[in-house]
This record gives sequence, structure tokens and C-alpha cells, in this order.
Amino acid sequence: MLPPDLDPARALRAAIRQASHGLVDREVLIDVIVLAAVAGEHVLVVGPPGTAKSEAARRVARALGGSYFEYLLGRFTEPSEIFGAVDLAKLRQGLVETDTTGMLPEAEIAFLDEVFQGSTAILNTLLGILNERVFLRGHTRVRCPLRLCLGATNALPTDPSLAAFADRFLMRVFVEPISDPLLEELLTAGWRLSADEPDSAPFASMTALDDLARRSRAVELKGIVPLLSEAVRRLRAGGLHLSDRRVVRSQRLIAAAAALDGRTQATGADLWPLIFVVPTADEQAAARELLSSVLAAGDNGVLQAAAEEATQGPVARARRLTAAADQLLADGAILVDAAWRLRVEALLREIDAGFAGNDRPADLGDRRDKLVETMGRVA
Amino acid sequence: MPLPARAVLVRAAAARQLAHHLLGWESARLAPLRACVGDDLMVVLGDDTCLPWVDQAIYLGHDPAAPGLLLPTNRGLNVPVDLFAEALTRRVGRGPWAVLPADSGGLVAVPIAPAGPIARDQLEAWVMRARS
Repeated sequence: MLPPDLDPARALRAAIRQASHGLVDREVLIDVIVLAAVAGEHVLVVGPPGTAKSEAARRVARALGGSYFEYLLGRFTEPSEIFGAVDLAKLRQGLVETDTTGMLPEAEIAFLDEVFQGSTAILNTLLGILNERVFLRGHTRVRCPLRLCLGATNALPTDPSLAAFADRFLMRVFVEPISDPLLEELLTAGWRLSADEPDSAPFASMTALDDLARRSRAVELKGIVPLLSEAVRRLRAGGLHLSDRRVVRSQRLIAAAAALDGRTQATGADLWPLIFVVPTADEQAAARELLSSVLAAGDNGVLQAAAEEATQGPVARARRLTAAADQLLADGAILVDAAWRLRVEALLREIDAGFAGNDRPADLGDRRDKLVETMGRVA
Repeated sequence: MPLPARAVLVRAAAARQLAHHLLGWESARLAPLRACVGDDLMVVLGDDTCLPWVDQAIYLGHDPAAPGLLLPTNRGLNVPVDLFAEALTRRVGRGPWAVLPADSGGLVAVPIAPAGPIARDQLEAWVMRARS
């Protein structure tokens, strides 16, 4: 547990590390979940079953200490399974009210698997909760403490009648099964997780999240309006059309990115969340190409993985590699063995493959030199 | 975005250092790699996670627009890659080639068609020749 007076952004950064621990290749998803939570938006994660979508949501909820609700929707799921059953005591008094105890209307973080399988009744009620944070059913009108809803689906819906509901999930993340090079890491991490006790003490809190959300709403956006407008124009010129709603609300994500990075004014470095607003995976890839020069300076000290994934730019990449080098240097101060050497070689390879000597940022160059020196001493 | 590395090229002392490094690897680790050598250079080909590292190494990758070329992963061309590939083919013939900047400011094109599995005895023989 971290000191209670810790800066909220640092607390969230620690929470992200806690949530990511043991999860392989899901750092981007966790970063996006946290960004959306600060911005007050929702996330749709698209990917096949068994790709740790729900585990990522659970871990963020645990790391933030938030009340959590999770459900797998099906075609025959009753609204009472999501929102609560009729309150029988009130019914005897002639009032049709819902007992929402422990159900989604009382959750601060919610995960709905196969979210588009829900009935019209469920989705219509969810619309109100996602949009206005209000649960309406019969005589029940409840203000919901929901910070974030993470919806999961195997594939994007093709039914036009679901388009309005789908559009409520501003951010989209596409996950795939672990790639071949990471299989050993997945197996090791998965086995270790099953043996370890889960860390139940949250590293941050809803208070920290709400504090950052307030700061996010106060971020000055004037400076990035021309940049964002230019980015949207480039997307349109490339055949990618975002709804006006998505364009306007992307500003919340940009403001949240700036707030998480400790700034009161958004800059060009904060535009990268726009990639996650683009609705499909193919379109996100196209958007990265179209916006590569606009996003090249994209970076975020707290959401490093998501910034690098969105920009695929040198600034974010250098930051990640520098952090990785610091970790290896710290590990090497404790133990230098064959496994450590392999990790160092892999990192040096990535650094040299990614940056020509004179293009390396100073910090990264410094860490590289230290790693090379350490390798030389222990050769 | 850097090209995914598919080869590493080393010259002079770095090439000899890499050869010694590879001679210390187990056969299973060498198996996914192929290599070709010149008088004082070596090119090792393989997936990025399998490639070795030494200081001064140059990593090369394929641009989809020019699959017959291996280009530095960390530098872009200032001309369209497909036109560059066409011009290079007219100049030096069909590849595959590993292409990198020369110290003099031009380009060096290294043929990589002869690349084959890494055999320890051949690597040792190359090290001996490179020393003399």
C-alpha cells in the first residue's frame, strides 16, 4: 500500500504496474482502461476468448480498490441478472423497484463479456447507465457510481441496430492470442500466478482516480484544437471518418492523457489516444500511417505502453527502452547470470535496431553504454 | 517505426567478435540462423528474437515494398523503396541484397543468396582467415 498522500498520477502508475504484473502483452489494454476511467469513457475490447480481457478488468478494479461487477451476457440473459431483481418488500407496498445490491448499477468498474449478446431491454437500460450514469427501471432511479465499463466481444457487431450502443464505447482495443516469441513468458507467468497469492491491497483508490478526473476536466485544450482538427482532416482525406461525437469526445481522452502526465495544458504529445477512438483494427492501422508525423512526438510517462502502441513513434519507444534498461541494470546489480545476459542482449538488439547511434536520445544512449560496459565486464 | 529485424551485419573487428560469440552458442540456438561471410564482414539472417547482438552491429529488415532487399531497420530512405529497389537492380543485378550506407557516403550492396546454415568448422576456418 502506498502513502495516502502520494500524487494521484504516481498512485495510478503504481496501480497500473500492479495490475500488469504477471499479465503478458496486455499492458496496452490496462493503460487504455485507466485512461478511459480518468476520462469518464468506456472501452470495447475485441478479441477471441481466453485472451485475458476479463482478467485485465479485474486487475484494474483490484488495483484501484473499486467495486467490481462482471457478467457474461447471452441471448437469454434476464435484466435482473445484470441490474438486480425486483425488491419484493417494495412490491408488497405496490412499488416496482429493483434491488440493485451488488449488481451493475452499484459498481464502479464493470466488465460485460459478449456485451452485444444482451437483449434490447438490457442494452437500452445500459445506454442510460453508460451515458448518464443513471439506472432507470420502473420506480427505480439510481445515480450510478460507474467510472468505467469494459465491454468485450469476439468481433465487432454487424447489425446496424447495435451501432448506437457500440458507439458508447469510445475507445477500442483489439487483442490477439500471445505471439510465438512470448509463449515461454506466458507459460512461466501463468504458472507463477497460479502459485502466488493475489496482492489484495490496492495501490491506488477511487479517490485518486476522481482527483485525476477533476484535473483532466480542467486541462487547457486550446493549444491542441488546431492539431486535433488537422489530424481529423488527415483521417478524412485517407477515407477514415469518425463521427462528430467521437471527435468531440476524443478531447476527454487527450485531456486525461495530459492530466496523467502531470500537465495542465494538453500538447501534441497527448494526441495519441485518437488512435484508439478509430473503430476497427484495420482502420487503426491505417490511422497510424496517416497520422505518423502528427503523432511522432506522442508520449506519456504513466501510460507508456498505450502511447507507444498508438504512435509507434521514437519518443515513446525510447522511453520504454530506457525504463527497461534501468530495470536490467538494477537486476544486474543483484545477479548476473546467463538469463540476465540473454535479456540484455535482447534489449541491446532492440535499441540498436530501433535507433541509429546519432538518433539515440541521450538517456537511452547512456543506458545502452552502461549495459554494454556491464556485459564487457562479465564476458 | 523501425523495420522488424531479419538480419544483422557486422564488419571488421565486430565480425570477428560475433564469430567468437556464435561459436559459443549451443547448436539448438544456431539452428534457426543462416549466415554468409565476406573478406571482413558477416551477415547473419533469422527472426529478430533469434539474432545475436554485438556492439557496432547493423540490423537489417525487409520493407514490404522491396522484399528482395534487406535495409537498415533504423533508417528510412528518402526515396520510395520500390523505385530504389528497381534502380538498384538495374545497377547491380537481381538480389537478394543487404544494402547499407558506406562510410564514403555511397551504398554497399552485399549479396546474401549464398547464406546457409551456420557450420562450426566453417566459422572457425573463417575466423582463422580473418585473423591472418
